[in-house]
Amino acid sequence: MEYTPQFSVVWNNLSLFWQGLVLTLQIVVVAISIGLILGILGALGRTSENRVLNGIAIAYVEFFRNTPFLIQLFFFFFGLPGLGIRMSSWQAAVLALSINFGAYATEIVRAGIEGIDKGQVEAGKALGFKPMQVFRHVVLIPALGNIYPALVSQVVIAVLFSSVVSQISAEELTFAGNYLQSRTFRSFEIYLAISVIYIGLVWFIKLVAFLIQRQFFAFTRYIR
Amino acid sequence: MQQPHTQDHAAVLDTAVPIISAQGVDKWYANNFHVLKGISLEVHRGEVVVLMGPSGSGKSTFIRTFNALEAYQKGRIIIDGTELTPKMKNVEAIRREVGMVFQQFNLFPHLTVVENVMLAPMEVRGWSKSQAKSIAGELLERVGILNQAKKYPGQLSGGQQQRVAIARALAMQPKIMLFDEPTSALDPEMVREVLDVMRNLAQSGMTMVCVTHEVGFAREVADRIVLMADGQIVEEATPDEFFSNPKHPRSQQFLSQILS
Amino acid sequence: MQDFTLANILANLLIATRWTIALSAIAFFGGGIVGFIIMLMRISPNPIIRTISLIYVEIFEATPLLMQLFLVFFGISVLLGLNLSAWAAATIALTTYSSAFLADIWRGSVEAVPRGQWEASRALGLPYIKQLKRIILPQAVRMSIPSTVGFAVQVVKGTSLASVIGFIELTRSASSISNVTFQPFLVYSMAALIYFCLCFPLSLWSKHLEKKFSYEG
Repeated sequence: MEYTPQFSVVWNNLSLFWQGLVLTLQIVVVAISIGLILGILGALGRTSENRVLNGIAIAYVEFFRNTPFLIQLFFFFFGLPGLGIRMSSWQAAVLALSINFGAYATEIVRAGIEGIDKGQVEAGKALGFKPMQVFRHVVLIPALGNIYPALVSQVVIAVLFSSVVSQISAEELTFAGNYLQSRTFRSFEIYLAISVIYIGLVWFIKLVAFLIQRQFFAFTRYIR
Repeated sequence: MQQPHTQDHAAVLDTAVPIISAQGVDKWYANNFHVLKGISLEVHRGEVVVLMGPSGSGKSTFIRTFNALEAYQKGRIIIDGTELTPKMKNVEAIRREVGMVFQQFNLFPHLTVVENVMLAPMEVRGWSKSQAKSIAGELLERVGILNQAKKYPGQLSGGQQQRVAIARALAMQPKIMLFDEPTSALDPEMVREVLDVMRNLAQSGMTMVCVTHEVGFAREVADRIVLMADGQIVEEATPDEFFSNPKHPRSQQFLSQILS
Repeated sequence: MQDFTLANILANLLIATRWTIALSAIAFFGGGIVGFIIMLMRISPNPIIRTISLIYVEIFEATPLLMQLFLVFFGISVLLGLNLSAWAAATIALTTYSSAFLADIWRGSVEAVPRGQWEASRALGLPYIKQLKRIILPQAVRMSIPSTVGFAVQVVKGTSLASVIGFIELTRSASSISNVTFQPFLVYSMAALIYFCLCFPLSLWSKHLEKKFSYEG
């Protein structure tokens, strides 16, 4: 009756976990890259004077931030084929994750754009910078510094969300766990191990983010 | 229309030609507020002009038209022989020659003090790094802040930041310096260190237009005081005349408010 | 077997939506109670208590909600020999998940109360509990309301994952209906719309509160 955890199932299948981790990273890196582009485009739309663009951007952001990721995923993978758009589970996973990330990134980038100090832009102009030079030397780095923490949090959330794509059988870390669980029934050990891997991954990302912050955005500590 | 930008050309100009010439300038804000009402002002080389007046009188807006940070709708503004027009292509060429110091300092937060001073000479004037560095070093020494060169602006006091901002503007070797209420955002004990730097700059022969309420500075340093009210110039006088014997009722009213 | 008309599908989805709302409400309020305790631990003067609560929050914020559901549903039931229902497992997992995030939001608000407020209340001779209850918390609560409402949206969306362990709520019901009707596009669109109708008002309200409080200062 008493259950004794046996972690040999974890040690014996480390390579499976490793593969899952690598697949998770692939999905997340591709999705974040696409999502960032969507976020920049979305923020441009959101801050534009053009009402149509603005409306589209608002609809995009609000729709994807106010519906569950799982539903979005199912919609892309099961729903879109109804319109004749078919994709592999990997493609659907990346697409859903990108679009979801993009909606949050839109708001983050927009806050960065709106947080730009007009006085510094004027100072740049007064020194004789051309508009592109003002953007490159005066606007870009401080704006990146401002949005950096929020962007890192969103990356962490994307990593955690990526586990959900196992539900359309996209292969990644959680999928690997489900697969192993269905063969060994050692659910507690396996899911505990996977949780630990996610924690390790998240802390690793936070560590790298911190080092980047210290290297490139040290000035943000002194901005009041 | 004549458009001399080069040093040589400027040198042959009659010194009687003003370096700043504003003729009948009108400006309306987007909400139709008539902020500048046909203002004319001439500033000659080496002159120090102090603009005073109650808040909302349009003095900041006026000097911001001199480097085209503000557009205007009627009249003419000619800076060092070049007219500022809404459609002008190379507004940067004017701004290179006109330094500006802002009320809120507006230092670049992501660059250290010395980088703030070096950036524009390198990017706009195309100087080498070593050239920019040596000029920056000289200027920071001149404003008394060389020992803080490696710090970020956020680590400095307001007075120190404003002195860096002056050095940053001077690094472009401008022909004109505009000061837009440079001490208004400072704690009282820091006002003096900034005014000292400005006083030295005036003594070195720089052409300066300053919007400020610092009476002591105006009295001692200005060649001419200009009092603005409601978008118009109501009085122009030497400091002695202005402070001892203001002619216009608005000037008398203004002085009684700031001197009380 | 009944014929599925549009109205029929909608009716079935709305019936399941009740469970989404019930689970959200329990997780949010249960999470609020647990989260309040965790928040008190996070701001405790005792470093051991602070560390324990910090680890609690960090673990929940660094693992996928799906994994937390699996651990509770499969793991704990195997480990303790309890046969947890999907409903019980989802309630436990979502409550603990909410508690960690709410604790973190509220801790942020407490820390945003200026230090001078603690000092002033200490200078008045108030004991710790009273400082907290009379001076600090009333100010922190006000500041935390917009993000707390905003987090409710995350909880509602989070409940959709309970479908994975077999709890029949909106998402699970949508999957079943789409399997029967072969109209996944229609069914998932409708489900998404229902979620949107639950979440969007909360988002708007949160944004409104944020603006209101920032004007009032």
